[in-house]
Amino acid sequence: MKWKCTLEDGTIKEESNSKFNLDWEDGGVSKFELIGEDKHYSVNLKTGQFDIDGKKKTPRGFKNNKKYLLRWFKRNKIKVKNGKTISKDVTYFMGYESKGEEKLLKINDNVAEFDTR
Amino acid sequence: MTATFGWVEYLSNATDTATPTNLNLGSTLAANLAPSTYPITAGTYSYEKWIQANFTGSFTRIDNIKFWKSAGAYVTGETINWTGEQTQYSTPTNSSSSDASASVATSEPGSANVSIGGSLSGSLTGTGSSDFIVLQASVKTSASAGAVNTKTFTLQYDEV
Repeated sequence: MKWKCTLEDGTIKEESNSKFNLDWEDGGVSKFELIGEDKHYSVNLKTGQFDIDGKKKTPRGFKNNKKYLLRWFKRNKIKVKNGKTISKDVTYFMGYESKGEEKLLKINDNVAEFDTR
Repeated sequence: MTATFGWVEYLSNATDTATPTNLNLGSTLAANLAPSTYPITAGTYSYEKWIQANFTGSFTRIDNIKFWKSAGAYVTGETINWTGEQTQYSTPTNSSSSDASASVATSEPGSANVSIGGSLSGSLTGTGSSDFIVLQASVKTSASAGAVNTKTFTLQYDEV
């Protein structure tokens, strides 16, 4: 089953050059994948490993027997110059929220670091 | 769902607020001041600027707020100090600030440096604000007369 999506604002809508894939295995989703014109995110739902434009990262502390929410995070950057707001930049990245533990595992795709709390 | 960001500035008391269009520091307690009209005399301090990052609209969570000076070199004798963790309002002063007591970061901090609800790991799950960011500029007597360099400050936050 495939949907078309855009990675620009994190919403799923009709786009001609992007796609959203779910791989199924043993009755469950084994891989989640978003492919855009110049971005590729995939998540191995068995190991928790992210593949972001070829950079493979597995969040520290990921446990197979725990439940997680796969989240889109929006990182907003407001720049103030001469006292006035001059720009608002937005980047998107993925991460996990650990159910019931108030933990967020965020994958920063700019520097491939983890923000674990 | 998207959060709407805006600054809130606190002036002469905790209910005297403004929605500023600039965050200039100067020698008077006012929102949207013109530095050329209210210059900081060498050997003195600006009035503190007490601001909060305010979030409205619809969102799941706001957290990981960072604030730093991303561009603009200091001139000799110029300093901007700050705090991002003040939870209690005080009337801004133009004496040496006991709140804005640390140098503002000049590169992106590795972790949140603006607190929410008294904690750097705090978060907002609905309309609300960060804790107070307090800024104060100072100019030593050794500074040359004239305008300082334009500064760019960046505030960054994560949103789900």
